[in-house]
Amino acid sequence: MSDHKFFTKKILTENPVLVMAAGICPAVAVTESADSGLLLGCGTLLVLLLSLLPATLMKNIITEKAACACHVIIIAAFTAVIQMLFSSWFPQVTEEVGIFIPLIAVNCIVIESVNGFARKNPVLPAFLNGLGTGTGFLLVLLLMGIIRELIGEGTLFGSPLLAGDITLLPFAVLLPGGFFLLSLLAALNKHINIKIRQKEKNTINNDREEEKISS
Amino acid sequence: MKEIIIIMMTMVLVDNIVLAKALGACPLIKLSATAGRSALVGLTVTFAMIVATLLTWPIDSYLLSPFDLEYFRIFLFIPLIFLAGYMVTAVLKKAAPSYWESMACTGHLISANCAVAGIAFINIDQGFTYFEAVYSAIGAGLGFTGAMVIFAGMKCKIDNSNNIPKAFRGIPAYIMALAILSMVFMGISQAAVALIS
Repeated sequence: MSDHKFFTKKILTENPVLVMAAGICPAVAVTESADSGLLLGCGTLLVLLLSLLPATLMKNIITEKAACACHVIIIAAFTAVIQMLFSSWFPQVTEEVGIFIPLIAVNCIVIESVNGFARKNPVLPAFLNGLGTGTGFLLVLLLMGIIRELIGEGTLFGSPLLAGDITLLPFAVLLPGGFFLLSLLAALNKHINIKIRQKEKNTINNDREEEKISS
Repeated sequence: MKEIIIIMMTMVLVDNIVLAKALGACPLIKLSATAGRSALVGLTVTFAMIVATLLTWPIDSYLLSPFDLEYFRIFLFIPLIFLAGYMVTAVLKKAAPSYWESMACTGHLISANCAVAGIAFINIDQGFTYFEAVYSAIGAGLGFTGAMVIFAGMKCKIDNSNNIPKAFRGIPAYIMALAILSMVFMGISQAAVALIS
């Protein structure tokens, strides 16, 4: 398929969180406020991109058995770097996110992308795939964080938006509320995907009919 | 003795690793099938947690913390956690090869998931001693197994029902079921807190 498809399909039709159910743990536990969601999404994207590149470049040099160990060490190293950087650039938000920054290294998204895709494909498709996966993850986290913080606490990135001390639905900030919102987003995504697939099928059918008419 | 029981009850009922901390949600949603297979996966994850704690706790308390080397934690822990998972799945492959084939190569998801890694880091953050850390890992694994077996039953009901709207079939329905289970669990945990204290 054309290269840009590797990027675009990961955002909507094969979103890692909403369709492949791959990064649910951080997506629900960290999005209680919008800035922690944004931070973890950016962190995962950075770790993903940084560990992809060595994996694709080295794929012809390392044997199959050693590849797994190499990838684990590379991912762990970059996660440690990202943790050090984030804890000095954004100390309060990193405190909120807590143990989920070390857990970027065992995130299913990162492991599947590095071990599964990057090891078998050339550099550009692997990079675009990783970029798309990370961006899809970041968008979901940002959206969930914004919605949960707005509805649950009335603030947005820390600054109060709704007048007074109105909290619409404090349930949204708790863990079950996060799962609830995630399932609603996943259902919305599936609905959009069904419509996209129907449209594609209709265009294919229309093309076939036109061919029959013209021939 | 009392502290051991309190720690384990806390990890299972009050601070369940899936339902209160959302750390094991990925294997829960993807791997629970029948009750038997869920129990086996839960047992594997419990062993992985125990081995991971056994390997990582001494490294931190004897090599890292006394010399102020906390920033090395991730870099040393993550390969050890993967090693723990690899050992546990290798033992499982030898001991029960038919079950391993039926689980169809989901190696990373069972052995090195957020739950196992999370326990290794949580034990350090909460300042447990070596034995307390191992008991906490056992408790977390038991909590995970319990949640997984319950969720397997819910998944069966969802798969057999006819009334789910098209957009909700599959993963959205499972996540919604997990939301409701987590809500129920919040009530149980309040009761457990009252019981324990």
